[in-house]
Amino acid sequence: MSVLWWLLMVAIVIAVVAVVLLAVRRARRTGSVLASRMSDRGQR
Amino acid sequence: MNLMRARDLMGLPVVSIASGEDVAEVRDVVYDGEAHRLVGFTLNKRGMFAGRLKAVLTAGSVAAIGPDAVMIDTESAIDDSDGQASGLGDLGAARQVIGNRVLSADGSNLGEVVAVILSTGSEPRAVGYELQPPDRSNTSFVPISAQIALSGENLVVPAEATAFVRNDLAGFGAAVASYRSPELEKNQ
Amino acid sequence: MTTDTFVHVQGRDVVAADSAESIGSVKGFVLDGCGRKIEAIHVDGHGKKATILDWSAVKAFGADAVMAVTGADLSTIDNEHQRAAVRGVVTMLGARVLTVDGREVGAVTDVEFDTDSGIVVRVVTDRGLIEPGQLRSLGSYALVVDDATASTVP
Repeated sequence: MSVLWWLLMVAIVIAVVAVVLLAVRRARRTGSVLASRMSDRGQR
Repeated sequence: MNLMRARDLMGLPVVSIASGEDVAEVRDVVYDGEAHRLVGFTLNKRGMFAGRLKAVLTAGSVAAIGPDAVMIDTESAIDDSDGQASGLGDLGAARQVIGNRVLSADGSNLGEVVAVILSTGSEPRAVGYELQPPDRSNTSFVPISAQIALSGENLVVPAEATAFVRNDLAGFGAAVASYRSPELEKNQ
Repeated sequence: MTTDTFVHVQGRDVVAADSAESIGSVKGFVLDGCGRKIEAIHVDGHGKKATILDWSAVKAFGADAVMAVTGADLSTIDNEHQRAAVRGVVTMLGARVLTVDGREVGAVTDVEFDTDSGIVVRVVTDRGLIEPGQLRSLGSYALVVDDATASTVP
């Protein structure tokens, strides 16, 4: 029983880590609309 | 005039006309906040979870921007040199545009920027902004002009531009044309 | 000129003219980079074990069987271009059709070709017809075509 319990816990931890990693990967892909060459104007 | 929201270019595949392969997809859309010209794109690799691509695509290397893909002539159009010469290399000074507060020249709050409107075709430009009023009612479109100022926090719209504000994107194309032409004639 | 279509010839027997033995059936095609001409016929096997018959070894593309010339060797795939075709990564049938100005205009449903030369004479899509002169490239993402009203007919 306890072996099965441990296996289940390990599986859950692996699944959670995988979901987090995929979410981070996905978030890193998110782009934006950027306006460049505005540093001088921004400081005025 | 074919208009597109810059946001709708994100995630579009970059396809080589010579090979029919999708070599990348659009990540950031970068335009020049002063000249309003489209500078280019940073790229992601293809695939749901694929990471960022080091190479960039300058607007000059684009063969065409369509509703379903950004077309390039050959795969060499993607610049592997990290875009140092093109203005796409160091985007540290680049500002987020979406979410900027919109102020009229007399200081009243007109809402916030929800989209940048680009004209597609052979020489893509930023032609306008889509605004959401503070009361969250329907969005409207305001044309970009030399007088419009954008800081990364605020977008200040000159008084004469408000006359050209439209509530639909189709009518906005015509409005941009009529708004631009006197200005262009002056320059010539 | 006699023509046939990819959908119509699917599964047709491929027979060696000298031994009269069946050496496979039409499973697919390897086309050139533009999608304008058949380079080889995929006749048997999958993946690495796939065998293809070069178009030059086709004696007759008949209505009931494809006859291979005497002594024709079936070759195994030996380059990335053939591999992509055999694996179905680059195929004409079902390919997304994209114009050079970045608009999707349907998908390929059939391809009509000259049974003598293997040259594509017309591409049929779910939105109309594409003439071979419009074809620019065939890749894993799309069949890229020059814009023409013919390809955008709803």
